[in-house]
Amino acid sequence: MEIDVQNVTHVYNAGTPFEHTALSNIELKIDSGTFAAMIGATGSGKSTLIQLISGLIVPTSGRIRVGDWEIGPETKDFSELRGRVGVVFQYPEHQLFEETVAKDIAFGPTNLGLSPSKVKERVRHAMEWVGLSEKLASRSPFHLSGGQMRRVAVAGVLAMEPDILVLDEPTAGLDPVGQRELLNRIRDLHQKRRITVILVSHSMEEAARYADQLFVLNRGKKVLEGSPASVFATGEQKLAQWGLEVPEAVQLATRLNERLNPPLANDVLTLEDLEKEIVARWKGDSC
Amino acid sequence: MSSLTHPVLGQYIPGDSPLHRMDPRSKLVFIFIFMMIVFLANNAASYGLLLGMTVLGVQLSGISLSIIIRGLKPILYLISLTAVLHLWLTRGGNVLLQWGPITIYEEGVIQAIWISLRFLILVLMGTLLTLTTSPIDLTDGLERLLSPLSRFQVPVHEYALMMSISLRFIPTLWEEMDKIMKAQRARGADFTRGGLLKRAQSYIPVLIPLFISSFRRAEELALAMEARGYRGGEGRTRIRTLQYRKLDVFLLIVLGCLVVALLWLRSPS
Repeated sequence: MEIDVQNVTHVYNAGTPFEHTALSNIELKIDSGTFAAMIGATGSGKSTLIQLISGLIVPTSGRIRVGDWEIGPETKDFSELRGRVGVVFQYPEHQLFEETVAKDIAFGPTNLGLSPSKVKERVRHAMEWVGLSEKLASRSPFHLSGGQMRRVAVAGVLAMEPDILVLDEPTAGLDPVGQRELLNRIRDLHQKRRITVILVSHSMEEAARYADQLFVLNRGKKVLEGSPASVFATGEQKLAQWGLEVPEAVQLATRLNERLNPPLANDVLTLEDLEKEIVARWKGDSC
Repeated sequence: MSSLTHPVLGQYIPGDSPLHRMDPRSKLVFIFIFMMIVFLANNAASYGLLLGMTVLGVQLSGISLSIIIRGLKPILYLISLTAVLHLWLTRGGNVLLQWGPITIYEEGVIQAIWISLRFLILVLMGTLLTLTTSPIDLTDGLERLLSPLSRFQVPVHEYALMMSISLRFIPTLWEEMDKIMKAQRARGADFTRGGLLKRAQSYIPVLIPLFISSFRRAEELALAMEARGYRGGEGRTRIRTLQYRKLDVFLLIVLGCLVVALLWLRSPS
């Protein structure tokens, strides 16, 4: 499903001393099947934007089109949209509540009104997608490790089989292996089922590795969008102004390019890319 | 849609008005005495004086009237209900209106006006206190005022700590609840449909995570306090000491004058 955000502004606590403009005049478009990443420092408005896209809050002004649905300041009924957009919030394991893992994952699909046998099937699939062994299905989610709880929570959203999957800092608090594994599974799912993924992150490494389209937000405004390579080509200084850092591999490549002629290709985004590029250059030189 | 967008009645609004700068202890003493002397008023002059004081207080607080009124809205229902009850039930004086079983007496009208005015003054003054005093100052002031009680084995410090911790965590829990509700709504939960029982049940997926996180927070807080050497109130010094200033002396003088003036203005009963 395509997402089209048209001139959206969102103000919290309008008309009180706590008034705060979280987003102003945002315009953006995410094509169906894209792996998009929203990056920006704390307070840049990322979380507000994804809540608007998922229909959890309504904009103060402007319109948001998600597939055939339109959300405006006056929208009241979101029930249908809810089934199509899945949201994994920050620290999603804090929303677990059922007695068993299977029951918790079944909460979403049951709310969609599916038959019990269908729900069961969805739960099984979702557990498989996130890599939870079937033995855990009857365990209490509160007796699992932090990483496993996170997966149960993600499975709870995936079991609704959304067309759009929104993830708000899904790797926060996980160890590096857990981070990599979770995002790799999301990418597999994105590639196999052609779902649209929106990843909110302040890690440029994550955004560079997984996304094909980046949106940079700063203080409620969209300041940049494009492919990871084009965004990082903007330069370290400019990005630092927005409170962001260029990924290590890109920094290293930029430093190398100051001495290399001809320079390395500018689509080096991850350490693996850089390694390949350097090895290729080395071999090319020696023969 | 969010339940967070309404300002809560009496939620602290930072500022630099004379009311903000006063010592919380003098404000607490003032409010405490004021709440009692409100009941001395019994005629137009005395009520006028109290209302004047309240309006002056609102003026001095520098907080816009619209915020105060918006915060008062839920209380207005209560006030109008009391007014209606007094209109209906009080007997005495001339009959002003007779309509079916309802008879409205002169005395009823007067009572209704006085009672709702008294209510309004009480609530307004109370709100002014919390609007202009941060919860930390409020509990600090309360602890200091009540500290003589600790000689009688009353754990004043512990109560004050409990109070400030609970006040501190109200917004946190509120935010947490909003977040969990959004997460469950994203999973298709509906908190608005169905009968009372069904609606109450729909809150289970919110309340369980909320309880769990409260316990987790409590444990973390206790650990953090112990790690930083917290050992109860005895011998504990403060980073911000409370100090009476000219303004506070002035406030207490005003209070004294108010009591005298009220005693003089009220009609003898």
